[in-house]
Amino acid sequence: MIDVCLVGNPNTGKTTLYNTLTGSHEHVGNWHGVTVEEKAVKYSFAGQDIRLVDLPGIYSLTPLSFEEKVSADYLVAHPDNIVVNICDASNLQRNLYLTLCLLERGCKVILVVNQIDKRPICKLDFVKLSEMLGVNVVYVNAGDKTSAAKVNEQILQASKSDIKALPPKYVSEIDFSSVKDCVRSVQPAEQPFYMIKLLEGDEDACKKFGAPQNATAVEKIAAKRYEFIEQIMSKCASAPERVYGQSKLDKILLNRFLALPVFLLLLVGCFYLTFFSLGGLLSDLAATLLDKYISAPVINLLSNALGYEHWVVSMFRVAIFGGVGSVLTFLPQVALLFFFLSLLEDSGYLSRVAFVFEDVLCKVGLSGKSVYTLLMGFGCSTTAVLTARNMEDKNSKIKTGLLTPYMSCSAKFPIYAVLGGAFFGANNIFVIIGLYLLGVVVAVLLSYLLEKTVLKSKQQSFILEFPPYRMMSVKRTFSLLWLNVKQFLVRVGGIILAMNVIVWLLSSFSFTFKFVAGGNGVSMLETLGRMLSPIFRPLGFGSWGLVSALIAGLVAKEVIVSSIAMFNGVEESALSSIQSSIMLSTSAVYFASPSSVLSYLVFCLLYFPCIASCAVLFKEIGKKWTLIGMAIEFALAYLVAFVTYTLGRTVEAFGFWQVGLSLAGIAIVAVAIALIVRKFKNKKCSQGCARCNKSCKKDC
Amino acid sequence: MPFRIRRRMCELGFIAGQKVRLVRCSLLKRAFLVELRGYTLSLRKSIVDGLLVIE
Repeated sequence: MIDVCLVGNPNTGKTTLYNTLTGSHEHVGNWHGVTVEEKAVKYSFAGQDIRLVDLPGIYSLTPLSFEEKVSADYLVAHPDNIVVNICDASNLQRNLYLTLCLLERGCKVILVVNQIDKRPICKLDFVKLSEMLGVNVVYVNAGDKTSAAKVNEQILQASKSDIKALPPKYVSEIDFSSVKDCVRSVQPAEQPFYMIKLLEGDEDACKKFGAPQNATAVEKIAAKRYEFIEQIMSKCASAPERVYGQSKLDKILLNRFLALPVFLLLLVGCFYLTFFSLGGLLSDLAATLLDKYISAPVINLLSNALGYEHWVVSMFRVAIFGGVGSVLTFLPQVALLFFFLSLLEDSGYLSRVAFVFEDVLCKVGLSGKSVYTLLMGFGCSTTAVLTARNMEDKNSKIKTGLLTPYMSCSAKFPIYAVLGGAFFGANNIFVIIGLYLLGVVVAVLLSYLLEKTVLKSKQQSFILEFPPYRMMSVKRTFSLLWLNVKQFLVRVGGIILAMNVIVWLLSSFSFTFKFVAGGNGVSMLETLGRMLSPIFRPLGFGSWGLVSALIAGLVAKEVIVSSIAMFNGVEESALSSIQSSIMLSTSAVYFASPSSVLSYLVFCLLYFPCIASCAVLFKEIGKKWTLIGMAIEFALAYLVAFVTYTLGRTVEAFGFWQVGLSLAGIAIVAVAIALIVRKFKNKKCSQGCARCNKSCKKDC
Repeated sequence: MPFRIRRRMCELGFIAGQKVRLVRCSLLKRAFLVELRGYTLSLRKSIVDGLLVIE
C-alpha cells in the first residue's frame, strides 16, 4: 500500500485531481476552503494499491483556521507519506512558498503543476523548475483523466525510491543559534524543520519543546523563501501576461456603486428562474406526470385488490402519493436552486460577493468567509454548517454556525410555495422574497447582537483570495444537475417517505390502535397536537394539524407540506388541491386569514432547524451553543410570528394605508429620538473608534 | 496587528520591500483589493491599516 496525500494552496484543484484519480464525486468549487476535512480513498494503479488522502488547502505548515490545522497536523504526523503538492500554474509564486515549506519538512514531494485556466499567464520551463527544486515536476490538467494518470506514474516511481528531497539551500543560511538547544530531542534530519517552526513562533511547536513564543524571525524566513522563489521564477518563467484573479468584468461587477445593484439583480433573476418561470413550469409538469402515470394506476390496482377503504390503500393514497408526491413535485425547483448555488461558487463570483458585503459584515462581526457558509445555507443548512470550519477563531465559528439556520433552506421553499400560493396567488413572489430577506435580516441583527454581547470575534483577517472567473463546462453542468436530482430523490425516497408513513400512522390510529381515518375517533397525533396548540393560538394558527406538522417538520421541513396534505386527505400531487383544501373551513387544517398564513410561514422560517442540522451543529459548536441557538430560534420565531400576526390583523381591520402611514410616523419619531440621544452621548468623549477619537481631540 | 495574522501576511508575500498595488475598494472603504506577486487578495481595513506603505 502506498500512502499519498494531496497538499496545496486553497483552490488549486486538489479535490478535482482527487476526484479524477479515484472516480469520487467530492464537492469542488472555485472558492478557497471548500474541503474542510481529510478524505481518504483506496484505488489501484498498475497492480499497486494506493491510498489517497485529500486535505484542506493550506498556505504553509503553520495553520490559522480550523481546517488548515487538519492539514498541518496530518503532514506533521505522517512524514512518510508521498506528498503530491499541487500548484496552480497561474499563481506559481505563492504556491511555491508551500512547496518550500514541504521541502524543509523533508517530505517526499511530487510537484504537480495544474493548468486550470486555458490561457496560461506565463510560459514555464519544467525541466529547470525540477532541477532547481530538486523534485519531480508533472504538468497536468487536474480534470483530465489522461493527464492525471501521469501523477500515478510519478507516485509509483517515488514509492520505489527512498531518496527524500533535500532541504532548500537557503535553510543553511538561517541563524538557528537561539533555538538549537530546544530541538535536541528529535532526529537530526527533522531538526531544521522544528527549528524553523520555533523561529516562526508556531504555537504547537513552542508547546512541544517548551520554548518561549518569540517570533522575530518570521519576516526574515519568509523573505528568504521568497528570495529563492524569485530566483526560480526568473529562470523558469517568462514575464506574466496578466494578474491572477483580475478581469475586465470586475469593472462592472465590483464597481463601487454598481456592485450591489448588479448583485441584487442577478439574485432576483436566479430566483425568478428557479421558483417561478422555468422551475414553476417544470414543477407543474412533474405533478401532472406523477398523478397520471404513477399514482392513478397504482391506486387503481390496489383498490381493486383490497377495496378502496382498506387502510393499506389509504396509506398509499394519503401518505405516499398525497404526501410524498407533493414534495416530489418540487424536484425541478430544488435541483435548479442547488445548480445556481454551484454556479455562483464555480464561477468565482462568490469571492466578489464577499468583498462587496464586507462593509456590512465587518460591522456585525462576521468574516468574508462566513458568506460561503451562509450562502450554502440557502441550499442545505446541514452541509453548510460544516463549512464554518474555515473560520479562524472559535467565536466566529460558533456565530456562523448559529446564523446558518436562518438562511431559508431549500426544504422550506415548498411550504412557502404551497401555503403562500393559496392566499397570495401571483403576489406570492413578493411574500417569498420577503421571507428570504427576513431570514437574512434576522441573521444580521442577531449577529450584531451576539458580537456586542457574548460572542465577540477576535480580529478577523478577512484575507480572501480572488480566483479568476471560470466558465462551467457542459459536462460539469449536467453532472451537477444529475447529482442534485439524485440527492433529492434519495432524500424523498428515504427520510421523507419514512416520516410520512410515521405521521400517517400517528394521525390515522388512535391510542387504542383503532383506524380512525374518516372521522370516527381521535388519532394519537390529534391528541398531542390539541395539547400543544394553545401555545400557538396567539400566533394565529391554533389548529392541531398545523402544530403537529411543525413537530413532524423537525425531521425534515418538507414534511410540513406533506403532513398538511395528509391531514386534509389530499390524494393528488398537484399543489392546487392542497391549496384549495387549506382554504376550506371544513378541512382538518385550514387558515382563517392571510395574516395567519404569514405568521405560520414566518414561524416555519425561523424555528428550529431539522434534526440533521442540529446534530451537525452539536458536533461542530458543542452542546451548550446548540441548545442556546435552539432557544433563540424558538423565541425569535414566536416573537416575529406574533408581530407579523398582530400587524396582519391590524392591516386586515383598518386597511393597508392607515396602518402603513401610522407605522411610518412612529418610525420617524423613533429615529429622531435615537438621533437626539446619540448626539448627547457623543458630547462625552468616549474612547473607541478612530473617527470618534479624532473628533474628540478637536472638541476636547 | 496580531502576531498570527502578521505571520500569515508574511506567508502571503507581504515582506519588507514588496511592491503592492491597490486595485479597488468597497463602497464604504472597509475592504480593499490588493495585487502583489501576480495575484489578487482582498483585505479588511484593519489589516490594511497595519501595513506600512511607502508611495
